[in-house]
Amino acid sequence: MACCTTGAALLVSRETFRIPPIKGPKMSVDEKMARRIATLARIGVSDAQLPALAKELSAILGFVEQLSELDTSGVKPLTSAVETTMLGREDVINDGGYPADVLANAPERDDDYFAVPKVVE
Amino acid sequence: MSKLTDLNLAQARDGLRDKQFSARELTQAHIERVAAADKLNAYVLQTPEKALEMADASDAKIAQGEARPLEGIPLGIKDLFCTKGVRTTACSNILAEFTPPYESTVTGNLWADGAVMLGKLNNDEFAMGSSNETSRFGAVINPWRGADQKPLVPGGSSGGSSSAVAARLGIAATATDTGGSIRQPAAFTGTVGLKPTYGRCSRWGVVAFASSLDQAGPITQTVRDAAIMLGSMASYDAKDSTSVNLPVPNYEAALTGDIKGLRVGIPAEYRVDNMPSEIEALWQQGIDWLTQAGAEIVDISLPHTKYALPAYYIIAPAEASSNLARYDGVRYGMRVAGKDIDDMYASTRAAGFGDEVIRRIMIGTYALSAGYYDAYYVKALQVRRLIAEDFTKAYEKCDVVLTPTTPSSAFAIGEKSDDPLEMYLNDVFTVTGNLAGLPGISVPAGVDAKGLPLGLQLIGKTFGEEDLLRVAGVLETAAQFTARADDWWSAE
Repeated sequence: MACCTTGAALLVSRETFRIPPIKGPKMSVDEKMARRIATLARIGVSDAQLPALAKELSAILGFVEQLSELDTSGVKPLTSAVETTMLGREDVINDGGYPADVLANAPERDDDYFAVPKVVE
Repeated sequence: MSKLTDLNLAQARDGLRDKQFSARELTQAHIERVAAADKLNAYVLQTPEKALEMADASDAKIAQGEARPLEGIPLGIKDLFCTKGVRTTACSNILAEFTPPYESTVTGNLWADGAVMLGKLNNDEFAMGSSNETSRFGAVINPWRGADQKPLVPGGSSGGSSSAVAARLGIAATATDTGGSIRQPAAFTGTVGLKPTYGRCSRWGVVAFASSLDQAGPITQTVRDAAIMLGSMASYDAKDSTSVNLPVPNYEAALTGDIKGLRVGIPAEYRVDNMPSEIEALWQQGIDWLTQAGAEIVDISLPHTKYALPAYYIIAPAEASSNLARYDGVRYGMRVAGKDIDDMYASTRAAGFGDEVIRRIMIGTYALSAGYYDAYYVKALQVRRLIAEDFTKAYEKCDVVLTPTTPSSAFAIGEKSDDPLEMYLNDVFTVTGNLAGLPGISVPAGVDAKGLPLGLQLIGKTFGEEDLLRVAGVLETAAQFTARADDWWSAE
């Protein structure tokens, strides 16, 4: 399984990828940064696509820039709009046992496993 | 036009119970109407055999005197809801021919209440869009059009749902709303769109876009139909830890028409620059209607409104970049071979995602990356709290908020598709409700000079759907919006 190495890694990327910190959100995206984001997001982008992509991303970041006008010091970030308490549940197996269903949509499989290109030399 | 396809949900339900027609007849009439409406491109998959099978089961239930709340009602299902054994793609190439081996909780609730599935409805790819132009299956066309007969967008992302309900290609439809994707398409098509409180409907089995904002709801012909649909869609679900364990009220019973003494807030900040005078006038008309019905109008302030869209365009892409990490070509959907596994991921994602989805994943990836996380993502979450607190304060003075749903009526296909920012502005009045988790409803209230529908939005308190629907019912009665799009699309 490739669960932990794929896609636009969240906090994992903070340790994994060393992007130099910037002073503030003022900087817009240049081609080098667009390339870096595409790599983080695991999206193949050709060199020819980079200028347009950098321009679009810069425009969107320019739009969200206005948030910096607001003084939010001391404001607690809101991650969930409706207050809910996470409920615990019984630590029991109550689902599973149907590999055929789980694998039914696999692009490639080998017996009861998802098959991927070789990852270990 | 067949008469059975003119019925709204409440009428069809009552007609079925009184045995004026059978579920099979009702379903057959809709199947035929859907099959003749390819020009609208509202359905991406039609399931007529399944529909008739379900209709026959409903007829058996009715014969036994065991009709359930939605017995025999033919619905369209947004292609974001996983349907067991029926292809579900979120209208993205990356999901290829994905066929879920399970049913979403919301659609499962609908089938358990006797509803019939006509097929899967078009939407913007992964629900990212406000015009339904980013679907892998092509744009959906609005049944409404102006005198110049130019094809118009049906709104988005639930454009298949809004177009289908407006054209009577289904008695009602499911939809989802992350920044306005139920309410804006409803406003563009003269239909009713209800986004419930975050947590009211389970998100289990709904293809995820931005999990802290996504909420399922109905698009319907009337406010009563929305109340009936929500009663079946809503449930507590142990499989969605953010679904809320509160009893589901009888929403239809809330439609008493009595809003005497109810306080309606009018937010000063929603008077945006360049708002068409027709929308301004319609808003004032709405205020007058509610005043005449005995409501008290209260001026309120939602001072952080202008920061809602910028905050949304960090939070939603950030969550999307995380949610869409799962599309890697390994377990389901499209796979493009690469020279190694990393190349396979990158090639698959480049080929499978459309331009707007790629833009949003990249913005989200950037906002979450080291060095930018605090400046963008945390900042946006702080602003989100300020926006939610604006409403908390406003609701000390009022019970519901009245605003326009959109800053314009439906625009032409292609008019805004080259400018993502221009497109984003469509959600300026609806996005606050998602950030604050509040329920909102769009009610068709009039037409503009071009003869195109306009909607008024009501925003309620957390789990205040009953008040919300009651006021919406009063607006609907006052507006008497009975106009329908001329049927130019049927291939008959």
